[in-house]
Amino acid sequence: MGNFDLLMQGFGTSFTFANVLLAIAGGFMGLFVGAMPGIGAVTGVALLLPLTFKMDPTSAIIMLAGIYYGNMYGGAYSAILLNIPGDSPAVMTALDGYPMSRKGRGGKALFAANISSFIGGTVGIITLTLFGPLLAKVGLKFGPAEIAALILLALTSIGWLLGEDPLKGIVASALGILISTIGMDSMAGGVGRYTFGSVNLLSGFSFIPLVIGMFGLPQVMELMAKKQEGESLTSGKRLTLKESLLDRSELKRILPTAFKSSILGNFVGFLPGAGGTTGSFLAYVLEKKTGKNSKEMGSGAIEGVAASESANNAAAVGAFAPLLTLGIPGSGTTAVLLGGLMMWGLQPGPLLFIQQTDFVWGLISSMYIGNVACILAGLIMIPFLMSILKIPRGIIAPMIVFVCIVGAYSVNNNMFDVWFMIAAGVVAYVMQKHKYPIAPILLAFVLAPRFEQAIRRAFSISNGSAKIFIEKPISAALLAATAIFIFAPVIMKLVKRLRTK
Amino acid sequence: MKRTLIALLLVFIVTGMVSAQGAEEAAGAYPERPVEFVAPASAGGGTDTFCRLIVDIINKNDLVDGNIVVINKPGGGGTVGAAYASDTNRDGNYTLIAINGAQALGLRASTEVDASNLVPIAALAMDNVLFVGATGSQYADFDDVIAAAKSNPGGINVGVADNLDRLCVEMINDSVGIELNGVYFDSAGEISSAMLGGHVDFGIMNPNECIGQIQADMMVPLAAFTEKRLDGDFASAPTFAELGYEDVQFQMFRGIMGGAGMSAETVEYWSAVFEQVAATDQWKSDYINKRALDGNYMGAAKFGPYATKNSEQLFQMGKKIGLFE
Repeated sequence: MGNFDLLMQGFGTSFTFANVLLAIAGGFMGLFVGAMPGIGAVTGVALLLPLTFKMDPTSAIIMLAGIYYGNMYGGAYSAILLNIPGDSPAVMTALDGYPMSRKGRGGKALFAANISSFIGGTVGIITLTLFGPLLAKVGLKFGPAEIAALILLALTSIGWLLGEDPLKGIVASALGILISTIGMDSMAGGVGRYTFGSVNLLSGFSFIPLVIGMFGLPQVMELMAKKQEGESLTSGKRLTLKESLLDRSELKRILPTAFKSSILGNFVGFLPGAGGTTGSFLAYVLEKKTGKNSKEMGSGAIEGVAASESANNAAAVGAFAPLLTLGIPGSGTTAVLLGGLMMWGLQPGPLLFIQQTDFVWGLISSMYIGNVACILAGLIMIPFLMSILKIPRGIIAPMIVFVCIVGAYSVNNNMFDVWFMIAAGVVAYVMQKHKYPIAPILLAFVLAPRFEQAIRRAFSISNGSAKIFIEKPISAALLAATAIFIFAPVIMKLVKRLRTK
Repeated sequence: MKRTLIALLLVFIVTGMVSAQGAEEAAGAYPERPVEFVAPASAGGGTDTFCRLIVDIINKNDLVDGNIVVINKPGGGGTVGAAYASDTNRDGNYTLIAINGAQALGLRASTEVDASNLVPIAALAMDNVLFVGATGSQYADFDDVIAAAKSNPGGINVGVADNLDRLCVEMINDSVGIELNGVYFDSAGEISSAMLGGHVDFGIMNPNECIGQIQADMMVPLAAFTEKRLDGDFASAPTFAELGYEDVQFQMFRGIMGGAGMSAETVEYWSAVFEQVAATDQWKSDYINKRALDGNYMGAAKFGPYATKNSEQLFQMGKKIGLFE
């Protein structure tokens, strides 16, 4: 009951005119920042942070938190409309969202994304309210060995994304791993790998230019190559708002997915160093494994959009738990907020949650308000967003290229990323022409370095002994689950064969 | 008569305009255009905060008659930003870059970037280092650490976030004659989670990275790499010198350098500006005190040789243990 009282007190703090306005303003800014490729939540929050130094800390964090979760809504828009994920967690959204757009169901995808984001946010906030401190402590149980096992489990899923020709899928995955190894090896004294003496290669390739290049650019080339197929992105189909509303059967399809994914994404958010990208990825995998429509996923299933969007919103909220209760940031954005706490004159740490109840519960209660503001703003924006789909190709294609270039540049303020983005686009276009799948490249690129770091850290801790993975119950269980996933189909086949004999 | 009057008036106006222009030029001799202040790290991190706070103080106190723009050039542990600032095609007089001890060591070791043409201007702060453990573990003081390390050589794990931290562990190992194992993490936050979750035994941290957890009695500072004991929440931690290991002492500088070819005059100009920044109350309260740093200002004459010597020593030490191969 204590938490409920504190929450009500928090509403007292957050329900002032100024704070409600700030929560709404933050949410709106987040929507825009998220929709713009290259500028993610981290950059958005970092750039606005200095403006808040003189504000009251509670008001300041209410606004900045709004930017963070609003960003998770916005990331979906350009992913669905243009196949350019606005932020890395939205990559999984693009996998189904963009095909839906091409089939003339872009409005439905946007609706599904907004509703799933809202569900994800709400589940996340309620969990944070009820179990925040507890779950932050559970998250600590995940050390390097456990994280390595968790990523290994996630990696098994690459198998389903390999496409029709598994060999080509494996080639694509290997390419992803290969380019991810380029750059500084932070675990061995900062030695460069495959840098050929180039400073730009030393910092490695960034994820955003790769995604923009591999997803965004090829479809512009495709648009230009297939001129005869109608005027706009949707191949000339007329779109009305009415057709874009989800009907009852579609709502039935996304609701269970969204709830399931929210809980998973929320938990991933609590883990140290995980964050929204891993959350939305794991949720997508879970849906692919357990969902009813798993076969359709990847080619325009509404469940795919729901899984990804609900999970990344839930993870964004989840990342606040370790920040508020332990003073440890669980994601890049919360790390920036940690710096903000200090500038506002608060001491980040476990005592914050106990001593600064006005601040903490003011923030948590403001999330309820901000989340509602975000979905309303999102729904109002849908008709405007849909009009993008009606823009003739001749105009939209150069616009997309412009967005791609600006997005790639703004990640590190470096032209090198722009060249890399263009090169990635050309490579992806050629690969697509030869029926190589693109998704495995990106997934391998994200997961392989994290897996490498975690497993090397674990071996460094255990002095090179592999026992560490089996001795710890969580990693042992995760490894067992991985083994079941891999071997179950093989064994089932064997059993079947024996029976027919 | 009327004509001469008008002519005279015109002459006055014209000379007046010219001299006014001249005065303006003399007053705004430098900087004539915006100065780029490179933060060789992403927005929102420690280096970025350092840069933005300095610019904020300069603007509030009108210390520079011109614009300073912070630009983030992250990547490669600071080397990407340094490569940008040290590019000889740029006007060094209009380029500043924030460099800390860890980044300076990275540059010394780098085979990709030669940033030796950056011109040291000033150091504004020194960051302290602590050896921290989790509360409630079997280690109550540093003697327990030594005992455990002796009975389990190489099996006691210390979380480190970069090469400087790793070298701090090496200093202990060398001086005490034990074998603590440094495990690399991406940030102090990750070390904290690993330590509180029991995955590593200890961590190397700056005071501001663990003060919250120490106040909440979740972590204990077991020893300090400082010359004298720190005060406040860290007062319980003895210095390594007190423990009998006098050569285990370390601080990381946070300084500013100028672009390649910055003139001696300009160095002096900025040196004076940063000295004023370091003397403001805002700097002392918002930066130095909040982060438990040492606020001793070092001008160009002192900072240059110090930075070179510091990175060289650390580099040689790292080389000895095979860090840069």
